[in-house]
Amino acid sequence: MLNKFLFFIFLIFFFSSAQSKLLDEIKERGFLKCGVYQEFYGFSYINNDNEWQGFDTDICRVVSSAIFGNPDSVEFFPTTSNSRFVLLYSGEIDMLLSATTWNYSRDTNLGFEFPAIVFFDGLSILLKKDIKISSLSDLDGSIVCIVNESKKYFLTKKFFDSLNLQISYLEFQLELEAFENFKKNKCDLFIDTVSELMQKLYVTKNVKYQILPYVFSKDPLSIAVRHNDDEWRDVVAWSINVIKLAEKYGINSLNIDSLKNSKNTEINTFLNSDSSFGDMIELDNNFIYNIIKQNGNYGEIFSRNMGEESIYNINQGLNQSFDNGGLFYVPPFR
Amino acid sequence: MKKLIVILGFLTFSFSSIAGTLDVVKERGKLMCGSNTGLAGFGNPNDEGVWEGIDVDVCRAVAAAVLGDSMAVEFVPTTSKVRFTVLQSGEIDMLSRNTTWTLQRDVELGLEFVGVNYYDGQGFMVRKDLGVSSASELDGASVCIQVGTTTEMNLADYFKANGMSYEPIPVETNSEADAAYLAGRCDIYTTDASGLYASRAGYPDPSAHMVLPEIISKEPLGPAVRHGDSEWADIVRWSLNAMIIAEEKGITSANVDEMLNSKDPETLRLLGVTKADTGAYGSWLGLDDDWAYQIIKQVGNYSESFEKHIGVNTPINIARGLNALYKDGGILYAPPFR
Repeated sequence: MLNKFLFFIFLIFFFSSAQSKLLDEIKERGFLKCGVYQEFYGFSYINNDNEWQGFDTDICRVVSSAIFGNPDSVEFFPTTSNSRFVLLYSGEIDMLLSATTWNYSRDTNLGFEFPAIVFFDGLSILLKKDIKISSLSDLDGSIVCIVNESKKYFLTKKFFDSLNLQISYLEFQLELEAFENFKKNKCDLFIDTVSELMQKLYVTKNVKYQILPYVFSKDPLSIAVRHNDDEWRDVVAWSINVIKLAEKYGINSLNIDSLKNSKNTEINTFLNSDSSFGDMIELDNNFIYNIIKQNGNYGEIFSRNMGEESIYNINQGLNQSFDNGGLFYVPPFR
Repeated sequence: MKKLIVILGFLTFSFSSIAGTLDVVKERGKLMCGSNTGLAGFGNPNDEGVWEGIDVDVCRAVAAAVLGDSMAVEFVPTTSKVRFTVLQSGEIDMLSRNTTWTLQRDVELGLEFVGVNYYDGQGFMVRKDLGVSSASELDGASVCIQVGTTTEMNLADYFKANGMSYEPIPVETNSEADAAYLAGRCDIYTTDASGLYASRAGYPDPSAHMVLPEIISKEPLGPAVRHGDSEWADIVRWSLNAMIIAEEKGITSANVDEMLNSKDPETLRLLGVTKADTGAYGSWLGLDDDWAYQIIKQVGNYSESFEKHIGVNTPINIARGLNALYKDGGILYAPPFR
C-alpha cells in the first residue's frame, strides 16, 4: 500500500517537474530546425546560388554555431504569416525567426516565449533617392500616400503632428494603391516598417528610393520559442547575447584570435574557454568563440544583410549597444 | 510517521508545481515577495512597518494585478546568501530584491529574470571640493578598495583603459570603505551607483558629495521567478511592462480614470476597455480585464514609483539616466501592447 502510494507521488513529482528537453533532442538530431519567412529580402530568401541568405537566417546560424560549432547545421523551414505560428506550436520547428514582432498577445495568448529581440523595427519613411534630407524638418510640406483610417495613418499623423510639421495625406483604400501612387509621384512619402520598406528597395534595385534613418513606432522583431522549456530559451537568449556583447567589446570575426590574449579582464574572461560559460548552459565551452568566429558580431551580421555592405544601407540606430545610442544591454557574463 | 510527513511534503510540493503559482497565490489570497532586508529606496520598511521602494512596487504591482490589492503582499526579507534558495524552494512566489541578472544566475540556478526594473552599475563618489566633474580626471586619486573583488577588477580595468593610475587603500568590507571615505582616508568611494546614492543619503552633509556620471560596469537589477512556470513568468513580466507602457502613454495613478475615455487604442487595450477578437486581453494572463488599471491606480506608473522612492526630490536623489524611457534618453522599452 505504501509502495503504491510512493510510486504515485513519484509520478506526480516527475511529471510536474519534467520539462521538454529540446536541446537534447536537437543535439541528438544533429541539426537545428529554424522557421523563416519564405521570401523576405534582407531577412530570409533563397539567393541565386540556391542558398538561404539574410539576417534572420544568419541569426539561426548563430544558434547552430552555439550548439554544433558549425553554422550550417540548420534546416530552414519556409513559413508564411499563416503557417509560422502553427509550425512553432506543433513542434515542427525549434525556433521561429520570421521578422516576428514580440507583442503582448503573442507572448501571452499564443504560449510563446521571446528570448531575444534581434531588430528594433518600426514605421519609417520612404522617399525618392535624389532628395537630400538632413533633418525631419526638411519634410515640412510633404504629401504622404496612405491607406484611409488605418493604424499606420493614425501613428504617422501622431508622429508628424508632434513635430509640428505641415503634412498632407492622400488617402487610398488599399496599400497597393497607395504605393502605386507614390511610385507615380502623386506624393513625396510612403510609410511602412523598415523591414517592409526594404522589400521596396530590393524590387527597385535600390536605384530609386531611400529609407530615412527615423523610426517612430515599436516593432521589436524577436526570436520565438515555445513555452515551458526554460533551458532551450536560455540557450537561444545567451547565443544572441554573445553577438551583441562582442560588438560592444569591439570583437569581430577578424580580430577575435588576437583578442583572446587581451589585457582587458572582461574581454579575456569572455573569450576564454576556461571560464566554463558553456558548461553552465550545456554547450561547448568554445561556443562564444565559435559564434563570433563563424558568424561575426551583431554589427557584422547587420552590415552584410541590411547595413553598409548591403543595398539597403540601413542605419543601426537602436540596434546597437546602449553606450552607442542603441538599446542593446546584455546582462554580464559571469 | 516520518514517512508520512515526507510523503505529505512531496505531495504539497508536487501539487503546487502542477497547480501553477498563479493558482497558489489566488488560493492563498496574498503574494509572497522576497525583498531586501532593508535598502532605502529599493526595499525598506518605513516607520509604520509598511514596505516601500521601487523593488517593493514591482511586487505590489503583481499583487494588484492578480489579487486586485497592492497591499495583499507578505514581504520575506532575504539576505544575498539565501535569496535564491528561498525562491527555488517555493517559500516566495517572486524575488524583487536589487538582484543583478547574470549568466550564471539565469541559467544555472533554475531562475528566470523577467525584466529589468533598474539599470545599475559601478560608479564613483567623490567630495565636491576635490574639484572634478568626470571620472577621467581621477588620475592619481586614492581609492578605498576590497582586494580581489569584482569592484576592484572593474576599477583597475577602467583606470588602465584611460591611461590613469590610482592609489589603493585596502579595506575588509564595503561598509569599511564607505566609512574610510567619509573620514577622508581616500578620495574615491566606489561601488554600485545605487549603493553610493543610498550611502550618501545617510551622510551628515550629502550635498558635499557627488556621484560622477561614469558608470563602469553593468548591473541590470530585475525581478526573478522560478523556472517551469511560463504563465506566472508572463504575469510578472507584464506587470512591470504595464508600468513602463503606462509612463509611455502618459497614464498616471491620478489620471487613469480619465484615460478610460482616451482616444489612444493602445491605452484602451491596456486598461481593459477594449477587447481583442479572441477575448479579453487580461484573460490571456488568467487575470481580470482591469489587471493593468489596478496596477496603475494603486501603485502608479514606472516614473511615479521611481520619483517617489529614489528620484531627485528624495534624499536618495538619483537622476533617471538609463532608467528613462528609450524616447527620453534612457533604454526602457516594453513590447507593444497588442
